[in-house]
Amino acid sequence: MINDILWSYIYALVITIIALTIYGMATRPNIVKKLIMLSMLFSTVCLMAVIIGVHSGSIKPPVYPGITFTEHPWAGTAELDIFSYEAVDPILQVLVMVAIIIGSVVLLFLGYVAIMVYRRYGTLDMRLIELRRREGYG
Amino acid sequence: MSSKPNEDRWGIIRDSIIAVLASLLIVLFAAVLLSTGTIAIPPQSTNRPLANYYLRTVFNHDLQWLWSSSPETVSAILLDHRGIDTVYGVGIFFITIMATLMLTSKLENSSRVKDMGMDIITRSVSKIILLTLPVIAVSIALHGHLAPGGGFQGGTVFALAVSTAFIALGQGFLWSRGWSRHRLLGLGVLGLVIIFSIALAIPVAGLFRGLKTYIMQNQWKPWSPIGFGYAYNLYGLEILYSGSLLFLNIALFIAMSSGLTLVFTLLMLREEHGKGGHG
Amino acid sequence: MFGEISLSTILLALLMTYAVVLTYKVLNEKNLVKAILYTTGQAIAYTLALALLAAPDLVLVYMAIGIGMHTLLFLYIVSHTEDREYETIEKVPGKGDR
Repeated sequence: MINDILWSYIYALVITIIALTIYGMATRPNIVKKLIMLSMLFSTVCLMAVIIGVHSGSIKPPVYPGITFTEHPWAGTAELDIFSYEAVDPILQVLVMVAIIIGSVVLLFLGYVAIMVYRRYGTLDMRLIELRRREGYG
Repeated sequence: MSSKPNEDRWGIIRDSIIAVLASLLIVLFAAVLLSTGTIAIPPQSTNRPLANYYLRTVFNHDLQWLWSSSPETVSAILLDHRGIDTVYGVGIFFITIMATLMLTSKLENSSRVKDMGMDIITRSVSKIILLTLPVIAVSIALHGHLAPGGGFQGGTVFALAVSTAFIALGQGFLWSRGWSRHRLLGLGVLGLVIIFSIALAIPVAGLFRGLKTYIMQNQWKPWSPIGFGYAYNLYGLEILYSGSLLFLNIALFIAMSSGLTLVFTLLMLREEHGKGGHG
Repeated sequence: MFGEISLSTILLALLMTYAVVLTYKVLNEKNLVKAILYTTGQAIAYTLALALLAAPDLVLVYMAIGIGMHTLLFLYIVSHTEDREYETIEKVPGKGDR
């Protein structure tokens, strides 16, 4: 019963963060604030993908323990049974890994675009940029 | 958008409508996920069948037509079972780097810039970081097939160490020692070339022998009997290199570290007078 | 152990509460340097949550990128451009020229 409440609370918090970041991206006029909210949205969705992969029972990372370069005893069927029961889902971690790398590089590119916008219009406030574009500033 | 105080209520109404719409969208998304069983409250009691399949066959010596000879499931899936997705991912990474380079093509790096960096405490600590973190990064990349790690992780740690030194020790420190944007870009392309050649090595070898092969194939299979092998005898020790996983980790480390270092250090460039300017 | 009520679940709930509070503070903060520091605190909470959920590869990547690279990038942009956010257009300096 209390476990149900705790897990509903955790999922509700993740959903709240996603909604807050989307709201922040839409309403705040500064470009750097929008970029900060975009990075938070990205990280929260990645964390939600990892939370889905957890199952009840013992939790261990999906790495078969005790293997080095020179000592590698092969795994028997019984040990593999225990390993596949105790480990978390590895597929979601793979998807999140590639997504984090690509998302970080795209955010770097957007940072460069923000610096270029500042050099051209003299400000980073979206309302002021719209006014200046209407007056034929750039 | 509005500059008069009595028109500001339209701003508040617009903000609240956006807030309600965002919340509704996310709650709808969560309801869809709950109804199809992706999110289970409390969490489900066993793993999903696909996860069970991967966890059972990645290091199973008895099923040698399904395994990938590495106890680290995440690296095995990333580089062997779903290897082509990784190749596409690294390709997108480099396309974005090229787009960033196009924006800053007018900036030059010059070793004549006399930038002394920060105070002496920060400089001493940065020199220690510049000596020790790259070694840790290479170690993380080399044992990526046995323990958590791999090419991605090592590459990002290396790039962060170099960019910390760049900020703390001044710009002239790296440029005067032979680091330049062209060499970093060349190293990145070298990493990409190694990845592509490892992906196409077995199809080319199979072409010469008349066998059926796959792109990014790692181990021997009964219907395509050619592979990278998984262990090597060196002075009586049997070393476990898991097929193409070791070489792919090294190539990914080279590509990721030089690509990220290039983008970080281009961010810190100071433009000369007369160059750059209005973009 | 996530099956019955345990320390791991309570710790995860605490970390997520910390993250929500920090997100709300970032939304309403007008000084951009403070907002970036709140973002770094939230990234640290996410790294601890990823370590709790048994994802060691993601901890390594997210520590370098989420804490290191994002803070570096945003602080650099703010140092070369303006560092405050304004509610209405009149308060933005430099509105009158050109």
